[in-house]
Amino acid sequence: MMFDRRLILNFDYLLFFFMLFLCGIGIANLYSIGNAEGSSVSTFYLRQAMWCCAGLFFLFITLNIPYQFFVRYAYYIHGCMLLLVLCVLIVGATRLGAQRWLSVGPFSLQPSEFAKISFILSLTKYFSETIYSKTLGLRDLVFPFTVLAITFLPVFLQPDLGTAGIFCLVFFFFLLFIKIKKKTVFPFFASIVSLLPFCWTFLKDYQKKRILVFLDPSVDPLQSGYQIIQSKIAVGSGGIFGKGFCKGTQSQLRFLPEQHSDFVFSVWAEEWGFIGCCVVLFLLFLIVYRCMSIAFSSKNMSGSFLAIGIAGLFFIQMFINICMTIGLFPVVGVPLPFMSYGGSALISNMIGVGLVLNVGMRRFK
Amino acid sequence: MVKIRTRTELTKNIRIVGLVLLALFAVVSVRVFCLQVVQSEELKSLLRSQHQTTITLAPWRGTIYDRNGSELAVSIEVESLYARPRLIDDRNAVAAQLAPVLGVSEHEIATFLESTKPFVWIRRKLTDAQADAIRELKIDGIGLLKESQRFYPNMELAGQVIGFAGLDTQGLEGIEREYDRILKGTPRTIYVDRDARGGRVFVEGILNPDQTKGCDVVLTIDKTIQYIAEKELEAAVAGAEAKGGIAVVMDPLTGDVLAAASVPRFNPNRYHEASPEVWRNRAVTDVVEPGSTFKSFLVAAALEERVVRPTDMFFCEHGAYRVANKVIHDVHAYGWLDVASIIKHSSNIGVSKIGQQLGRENLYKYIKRFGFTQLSGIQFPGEVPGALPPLAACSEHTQSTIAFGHSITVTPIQLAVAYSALANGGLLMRPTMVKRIVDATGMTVQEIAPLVRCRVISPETAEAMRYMLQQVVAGGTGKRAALPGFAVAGKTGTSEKLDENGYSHSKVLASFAGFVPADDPRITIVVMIDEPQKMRFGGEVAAPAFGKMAHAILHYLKVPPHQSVQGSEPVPRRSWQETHTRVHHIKPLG
Repeated sequence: MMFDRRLILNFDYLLFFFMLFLCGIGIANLYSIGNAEGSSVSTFYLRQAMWCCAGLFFLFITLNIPYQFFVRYAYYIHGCMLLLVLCVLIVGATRLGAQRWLSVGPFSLQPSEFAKISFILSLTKYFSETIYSKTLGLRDLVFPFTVLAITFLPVFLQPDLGTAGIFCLVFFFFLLFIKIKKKTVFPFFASIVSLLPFCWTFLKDYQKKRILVFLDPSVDPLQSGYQIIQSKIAVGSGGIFGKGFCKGTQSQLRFLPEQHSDFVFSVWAEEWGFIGCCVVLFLLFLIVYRCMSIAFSSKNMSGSFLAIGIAGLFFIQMFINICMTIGLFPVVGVPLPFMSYGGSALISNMIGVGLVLNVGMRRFK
Repeated sequence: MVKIRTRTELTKNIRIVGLVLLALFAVVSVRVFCLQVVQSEELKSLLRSQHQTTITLAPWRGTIYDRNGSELAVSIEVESLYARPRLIDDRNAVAAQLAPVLGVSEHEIATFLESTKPFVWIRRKLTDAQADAIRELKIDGIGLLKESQRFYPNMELAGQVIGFAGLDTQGLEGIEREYDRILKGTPRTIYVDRDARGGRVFVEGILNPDQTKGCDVVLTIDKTIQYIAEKELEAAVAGAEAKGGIAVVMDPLTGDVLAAASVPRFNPNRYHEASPEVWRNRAVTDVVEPGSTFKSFLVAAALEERVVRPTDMFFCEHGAYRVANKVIHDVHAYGWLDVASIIKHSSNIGVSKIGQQLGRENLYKYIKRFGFTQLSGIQFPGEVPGALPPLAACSEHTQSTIAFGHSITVTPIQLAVAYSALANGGLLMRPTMVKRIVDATGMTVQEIAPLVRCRVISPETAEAMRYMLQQVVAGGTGKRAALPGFAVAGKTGTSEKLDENGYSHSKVLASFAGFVPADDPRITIVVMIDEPQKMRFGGEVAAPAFGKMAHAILHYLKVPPHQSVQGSEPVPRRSWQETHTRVHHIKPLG
């Protein structure tokens, strides 16, 4: 196979290094979290570094296969992922009251993380193929809605409200970029709004509570409101310059819940202050920005949609996660991309970056 | 064309959505800015309130000095051993290493290490050798923390005066207790960070001890005089095979207590090894029937009220005198005695008759004036006022017995104050054991100046009493208190102690109270020997102890011996003294 020089020329080094830099920050942050006396996560930074290497491996594999290949077989890939998600429901390990993990040898896999990527691939395939012909009517939305529904339900039943919600939001993010018939828009949103109360009854008690507590944290300051209050205290007490590496008292003294997964940003904010937050927020923004600009510059509809979907996925996750830690959003289990501990999420996100780089490298094809 | 149209729409949408995303990032940044910059202080105080707990450590107690600046009670740094069990991997190995150093079983230490708390004390207040040995072991998760401990460098010396402080350095007895609030200062609080599970984690360590050190207390006690008093008292108690003894040395002009000794003694460093019985500063906390030492005040009152004159004669009934169906005895039978001789020979019958001349109301008035049955105002825990039968219930016989120091209880310190009043020309001083209070920076916070409570008798009466009391030592019952080169004024006393059968003949309190030099008193000394077995009388047991104490103390104070005393009779200079003798004929009553 002839190696095309344009592949190297169009490789988006900025995106790649921003991602690596953020991963490095994430590992350092995990080291600080594990540094607390008697911490149960003291070696997680090493494991995260290992996952990071694994992620890079998958990223480069992804680069070597043209993204069109993934798009072409998107439905099959997504079908496989959904099967794995269903497996989790049946035989998965239960942690923290939810079945999200599938044991594979010494590792535990979280298929719903990979389903995010395959879901985006499926939507990319459908929208890039149908959008040529027309402005979409209600009938054209039935198929992607079905895909959403069959992806959403098994994850929602795990229960993993956060990830299930991500699927919905990624779906709506896609809708921002396609043209829908005006007469379709109103009944479409009306049906969504009418479904919301129905969804409410499906929520578990603790999930309802989280949403109520978000609206007023003082409802239950010791239980559900505790996490929001502690996280706000952690972020706020960091001040402008922070308390210094491994000096965050909120995290070191275990006041912060779930510090290594959902609340990594709070730990970072406490130890590095406003300056450190700005660095992380800027890096996150740059990653999303690079993805969007690759989508912008790609000459291929499927490339654009793929990059848009992954940019949306990153943005939605980081936005919800950070809003959650600063009290702008209810507590839902959405990790911060590249910084939260989790092998499946990290590898999946790196594969996402790999796909976007792939689109960028092959933008002129 | 379709392709290009949709393509441009897509890029337009990407631009718009990109701007929206930027705006959302801006919202997040603003929120972070609000939390970290605007609301930061508010959130930090919330954080402190949930993280930082203060724990109170024993404060750094002030030092207790004697009047010359010698340390009587000091706070020293000792080290305590703690463990942070979560940091210890092999608990049994650590326990095995510590057990031989601390001299306890491995199991005992292991139970501490099994604790789920982040911080546990294993042993408080180690010896230096133990602390060094533990430092040598260099075990992770084990540490030493400096604490303060009370130390009494002079061991038994003045133990009952100083008292002692407990394990948490709170004053439990004596000056330590009375001045606890002043000595202990503000309790030392240290800020510790609390983790979410409520365990404590040390972060700051102990604050600078100087900042919270308590005030120092300077006593009026003189270490050397205290030593002399204790040594001589102990020797006298041992010599007489007595149960115990009390001695008070006082500056008669100021009321300063120079020494207050109680025997048996105890070491306040190991107070728990001694019986609580011996913790008492008996000079203040114990009441005794003073016996004949009390006669001086009756005579002084009679002279002050001018019902008798020193040369007045009383018939002493040859040793047995019936008052209200009860017989009062003298040790030796006397016939006619003048007032001075009644004191000199300590005639119970003589003073009973003087007491009858004085009258009950006057007797009570002077008892109160001399400070008996009232708190002396000395700042010391457990002071008791002493007791006297109510005036209305006072029979003729009781009145007679009060005259020679029975039916009334006094504390040794009251007796010393009252004798000081005779010595200093008639002023009743407030006794004190504390001279001044000095704060941690060396500034004097409070100076306790001598305080005159009242004038009891005129200087002339006091002068006459000094003369008479000199006769007691010069040729009366107190001969053995005499000192070469100094005129001693004093009075012996032998009071029978009360037991279940009334006054006991075998259990007595032998005492001597007096001051020296008689013409220019520098020290008042009260010596009481409790239940002497070998000898019985104050003149035999207490007077020699008084003499030895006075001799050593005067030498220490560099008081020059008086030249004129030797051989020459001191002549009282009384303007009102008459040359002729009055004779008081008092018939037996009842």
